[in-house]
Amino acid sequence: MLSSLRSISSWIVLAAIAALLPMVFDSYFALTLLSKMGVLVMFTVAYNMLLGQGGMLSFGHAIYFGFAGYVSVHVLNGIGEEFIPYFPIVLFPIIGAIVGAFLGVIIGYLSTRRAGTAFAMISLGFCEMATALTLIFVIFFNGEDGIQTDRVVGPEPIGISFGPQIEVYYLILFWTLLTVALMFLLTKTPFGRMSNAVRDNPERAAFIGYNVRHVRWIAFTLSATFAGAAGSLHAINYEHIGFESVSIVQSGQVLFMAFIGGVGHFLGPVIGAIGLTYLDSVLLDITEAWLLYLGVTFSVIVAFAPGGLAGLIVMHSPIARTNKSLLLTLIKPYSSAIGSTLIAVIGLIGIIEMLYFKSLISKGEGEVIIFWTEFNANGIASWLMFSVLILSGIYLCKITYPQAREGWDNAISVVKTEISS
Amino acid sequence: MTDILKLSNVSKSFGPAQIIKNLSLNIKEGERHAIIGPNGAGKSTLFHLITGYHKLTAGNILLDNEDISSLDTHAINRKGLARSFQVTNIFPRMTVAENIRCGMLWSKNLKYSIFRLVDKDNNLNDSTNNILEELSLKHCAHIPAGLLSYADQRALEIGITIASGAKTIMLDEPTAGMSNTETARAVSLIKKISEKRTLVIVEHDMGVVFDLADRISVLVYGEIICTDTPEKVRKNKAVQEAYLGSERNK
Repeated sequence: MLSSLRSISSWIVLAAIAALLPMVFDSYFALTLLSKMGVLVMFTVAYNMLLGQGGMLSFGHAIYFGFAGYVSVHVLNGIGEEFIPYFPIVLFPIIGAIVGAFLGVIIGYLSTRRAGTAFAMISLGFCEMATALTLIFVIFFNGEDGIQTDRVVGPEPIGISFGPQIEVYYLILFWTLLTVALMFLLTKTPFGRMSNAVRDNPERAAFIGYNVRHVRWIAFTLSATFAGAAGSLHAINYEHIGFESVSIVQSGQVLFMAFIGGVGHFLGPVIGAIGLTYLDSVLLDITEAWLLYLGVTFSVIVAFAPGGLAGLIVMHSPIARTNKSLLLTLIKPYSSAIGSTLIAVIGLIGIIEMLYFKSLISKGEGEVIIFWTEFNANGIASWLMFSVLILSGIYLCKITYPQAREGWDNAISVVKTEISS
Repeated sequence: MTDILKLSNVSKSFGPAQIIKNLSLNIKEGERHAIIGPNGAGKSTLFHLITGYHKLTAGNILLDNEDISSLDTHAINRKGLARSFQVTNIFPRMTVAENIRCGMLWSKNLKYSIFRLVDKDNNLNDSTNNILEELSLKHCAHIPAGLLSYADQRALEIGITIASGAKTIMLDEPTAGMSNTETARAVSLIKKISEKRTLVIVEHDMGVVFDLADRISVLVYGEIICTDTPEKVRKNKAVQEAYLGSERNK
C-alpha cells in the first residue's frame, strides 16, 4: 500500500505542477505553448508505445493524429451548423480515439506483417499516401488551406465554453494526464510485457505461444488510438487542421521528440516533447537556423547517446540507488565536459549565424546580433574568434570527455563491488 | 505407454538438398528420448520441423493424436510442446523473473490482456518464484537476463521452456559449451524437470545422453538408423559403423 502510494505520489506532484503552471505563466503565448506541449506529450508517448515499447519505427504516425483532427473539425463544424446533434467538447478525444483505432486496425493489419526496415518503409508509404489524399480530396480536406472551425458551440455547462485558452489548457491537461497514465499502466499488462518481449526477441516470443504479428498489431492499434485522441485535442486547440498535420513533417517531429527524449524509458518522450516544443517556440523567433540546430542535435544523440536524454539520466540510477555520495565525485568531470562542449557549441552557433546572415539580401553594415552581442560579419575578427572557440572547444572536449567517462566507470565499478559484497 | 509425438514419413528439403529423408519416429509419453548423430545429420532441422519453425516437405506429425504439421510455432506451443535453443535465446533486457513470467503468460490464460496488471497477479508471480527456485536462480531474479553467466542463461533458457507447463519439452544441446561442473548441474536440473514430462533432447555429450535417456534414436544423414534403449544402442553394429565411424573419420 505504502509503496503504491509512493509510486503514485510523484505522478500527483507532476500533475499538480502542470495544473498550477498557468498561475505563473498566464500570458496568451505561454498558455498556447503549454497547451501545445500537452498535446504533443500525449502524441509522443503514444508514438513511443510503437517505437520504444514495441520496437517498430514508423515514419507515418501523423496519419492517425491528423485524420482524427480532420474528423473532429468536421464534427465541430457539423454541430455549429446544427446538422450533427450536440456532442460535448470534453469528450472529443474519444472521437479522435475511435478514428485512430479504426485506421490503426486497418493500416496495422497491412503493415505489421513485416518488421524492421520493411515496416518502416511501409509506414513511409502510407504517410505519403495520406498526405496526397488530403491534397486530392478537396471536398473533405480542403487542400492546402485546411479547415477552420470554431470550438465554441452548443450549450455551456457550468459556464465553460472552451472559448478562453485557459479552459482548453485544462481540457488538454486532463486528457494528457489520463492517457499518459493509461499508457503507463498498459506497459504493466500481459500485452505490454509481451510487446517488449517481441521487440527484444520475436523468435522466442513465438515459441512461448504468442503470435508475434498479433502482438505488433495490437500495439499498433493502441498507439494509433491514443495518437488519434491527441489529434482531436490538436484540432480543438488551434481551431484549424491542415495537411501538414498528417504529413511526414509531423511524423518526423514526433520521432525527433521521442528519440531525443529517450525511447528506452517511459518518461523519455515526455521530456522530449516538452523540451522540443519549448525550444521550437522560443528559438523560432530568435534564429532562422533552428531546424539546423535540431538536426545536428538529433544526429549527435543518435550517434553518441542512443538512449536519449532519459538514457543519460537513467544510467546514473544504480549509482544514486546504492551510494549517493558517488554522484558528487561526478560533478567536477561532468561540469568540465559540459563547459568545453558549450565553448565549441557557442563557436559553432556564431559561425552558423554569421553564415546565415551572409546569405541575407539586406546586410546593412554587416552587424549581426549573436547572444545579445553585436558582431561584425564583414570583419575577419569575429570569424576568427568563433573559429578559435570551436577549435579550443573540441580540443578541451578531447581531454574532458575521457575524464567524464572515467568518472562514471569508476563510480559504477564501486557500485558493482558494493552490490556483490 | 501411448505415443505423445508421432512422426510419419517426414521429409524436408532445402532446394535440391534433402536434409530429412522419409523419417518416422515415435516418442512415448513420459520418456526421456535422446536424438544423437554426427554433425549435419539433421538433428536441429528435425527440432525445427517438429516445433513448426520450418514447414514439412512431406509426411505428418501428430502431437497427442492431433496433426500439428501445418501449424505455426505459437499454435504448436499452445498445444503443450515447448523447446529450448542451441544458441541461448532469452529476453536479455528483461529481468530473469520477467523472462520466466513471460514464458507462462499464455498458459495462465492472460493472452493479450490489456486489463490486467502482471505485478498484481499473485498466482502468476508465485508460479514464477517456484520455477526460479527450481532453477536455483532466485538470488538473481531482478537482474537483467543478459548479465547472467553463460551457464545461468542456459538454465534460464530451460526455465522459459518449462514455464508454460508444457507436457512435452524439447531441449536442443542444453549443455553445449559448459564446463564439467556446469554440465553436472544442468543434467540434474534436466532430470528434475523431466520427471513429470516427456523430454526430447539433442545432445553431443555422450555421457549426458547415456545418463539421461530412456531411449535413444540415432540420426544419420536425415535417417533414423536405430531407436532403442541405451544399452542396445551401444551394442548396435549399424550405429557403431555409421555414427561412431563417421565421428572417428572427422
